[in-house]
Amino acid sequence: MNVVNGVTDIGISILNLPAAMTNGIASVEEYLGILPDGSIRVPYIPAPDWSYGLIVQEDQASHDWSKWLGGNGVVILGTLALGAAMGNIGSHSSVSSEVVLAEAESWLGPGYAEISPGIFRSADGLRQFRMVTADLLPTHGTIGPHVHFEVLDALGRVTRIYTSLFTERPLCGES
Amino acid sequence: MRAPVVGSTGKTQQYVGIPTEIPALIPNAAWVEIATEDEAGGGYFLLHCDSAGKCIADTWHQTLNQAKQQAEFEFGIKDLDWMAGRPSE
Repeated sequence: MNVVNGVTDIGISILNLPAAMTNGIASVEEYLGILPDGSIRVPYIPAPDWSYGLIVQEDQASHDWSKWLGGNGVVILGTLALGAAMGNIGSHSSVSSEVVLAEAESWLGPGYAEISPGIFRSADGLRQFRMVTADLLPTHGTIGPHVHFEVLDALGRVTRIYTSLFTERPLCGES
Repeated sequence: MRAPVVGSTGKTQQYVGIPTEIPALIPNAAWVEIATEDEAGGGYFLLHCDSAGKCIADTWHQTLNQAKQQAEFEFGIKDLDWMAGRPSE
């Protein structure tokens, strides 16, 4: 129960952040004489200590530590799990333009050529990196700005294609 | 022009992601469409569209014939399968 109470305390603390910021700014302005004392105070959402003595009797200090450690432990583990999941999803769906450009250099290798505006082909003709304006705007699909890493066969047909989404909108004309 | 996709030859794999990571597969298209590239370099897009008509992937080709060859290579689409316009038209 202390863990659940700790998590709810953290949630309420987050909800109270806007009020804390407003009150903090008001305090500074009062100190500087910009506002009269106590003129603005946003009330906080109360965080009841409902788990104290609910199941077992414990002293207040032990109870407070139990709540704090349990609540923060759950939030940290949850954040790590979410971060891992999002990182995995993110790597499949979007990458930064710096990563994409570094990847493109590595993908094409030395001696590549721009065969058409925004379309680069490796020296052996078997790899292609595509970043045309239509991909960056983009003018097709609903997946947002993207680029393509492609593997070609000897006849120029695409046998494998990786469509990479940008995490940020690249500048037009960069292609 | 567009053509329905009735199957995949399995000769082309489409992924979302970058090559150095384990990417996710893009599902097969319901139909494909060839669109011209308006940029100075020209070229043709072979757009892969889902059943709702949204483009989910694409390849680029220097000529219309190469775009059609890609469609045949990837989905077994023959010259006679191509139709004018889009399914909703």
